[in-house]
Amino acid sequence: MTNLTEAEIIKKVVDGHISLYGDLVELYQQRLFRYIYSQVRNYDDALEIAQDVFIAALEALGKFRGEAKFSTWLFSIASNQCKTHLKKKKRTSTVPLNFIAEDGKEADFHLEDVREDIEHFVINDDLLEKAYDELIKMPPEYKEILILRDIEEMAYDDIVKILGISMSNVKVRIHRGREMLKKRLAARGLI
Amino acid sequence: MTKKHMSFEEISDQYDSIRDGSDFQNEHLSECAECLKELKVLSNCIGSLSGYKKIVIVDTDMFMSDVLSGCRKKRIKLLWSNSYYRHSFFAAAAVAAVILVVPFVTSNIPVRSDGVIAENTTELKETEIAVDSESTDEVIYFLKRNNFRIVSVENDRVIAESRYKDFLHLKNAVEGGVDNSLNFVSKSYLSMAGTASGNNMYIPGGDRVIRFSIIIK
Repeated sequence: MTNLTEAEIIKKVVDGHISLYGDLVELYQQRLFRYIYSQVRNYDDALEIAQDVFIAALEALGKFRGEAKFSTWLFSIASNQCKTHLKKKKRTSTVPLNFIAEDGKEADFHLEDVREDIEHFVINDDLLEKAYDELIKMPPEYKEILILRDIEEMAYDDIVKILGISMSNVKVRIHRGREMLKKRLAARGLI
Repeated sequence: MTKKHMSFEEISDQYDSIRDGSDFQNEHLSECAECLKELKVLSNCIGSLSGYKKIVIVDTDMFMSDVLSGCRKKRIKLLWSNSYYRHSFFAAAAVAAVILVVPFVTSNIPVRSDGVIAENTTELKETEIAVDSESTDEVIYFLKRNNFRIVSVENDRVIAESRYKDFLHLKNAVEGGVDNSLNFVSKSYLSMAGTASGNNMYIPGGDRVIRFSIIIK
């Protein structure tokens, strides 16, 4: 990492010092990945989208005027890419992989991928895991906003820019999301 | 206690104020144990989400390498969007044009054996290509591809445009077995290297004219 400020790094990258872009990637990769993962719930898809977001951001970096924070701008690109991905996925039907077993009956062909279950793989605390389960099951509009506000600790103003909704809408969603989460955790006896 | 209990929205706002380090203190909270308890419950509830931060990219080196590799592919586009590089590009293009075009203007037009004008100017000699009538399309393709122009040449002088105005006419003429004395010269070559006067165009150095004799079998 260099000692340059974020704004200085961006200026240098725009001037052609592409290698410095690695500093920005390093700074935001985990936060961005987490946010994307919460939307798409697939490790490989989340990785691919995160890569695409960084590449798309580099392409458009010349147009970045610094009116919003770089992170806000990056997350708004990610939000759009996730929506596009989910729309595309909805349109694509999946065909289960089956095979005919020796007894002539059709059986599922199960390929275990621990990465698909990454949340259970990395969260070994029971309470955290259950809380995470409840968060993930929440409606997308509340889940997304709670991740931005209560996990990534973003300011309300930034969330307004990322999601492209009004401040009052952001506040309402956050309140309702928190209330819903509280009820769900209480129902499981976690709080 | 002077007021009714706080709504969930107010408690949620209070939680944000505390977390954001605001000095705002709700008077009611200092008096109401029930509302204070609600605030603590909400705080615990949000705190329980901290486990989500454990979800990370496992192989960050690979991720970084993939991102930077993708970025490098997009690099030219980025540089182009930068006005400094765009201007530099135009400057470099102008210099390159002078370097590349000037020798071309003053040199011959060589033809490679595969039918494409070659870069090696020493190859240029009067060129004769004999083709079967079945290959007329190939010859026409070659001529078009190299921007050739149909002219009449006499003693290394282009004396006039050919009466065959376009390649379709030429093809018909050749396939009809009528003409075997056509000359073709490169259009780009003529337009840059020749000096024109009326219908005559003088080409310095007779070997710069590429002649084709199309043999009808």
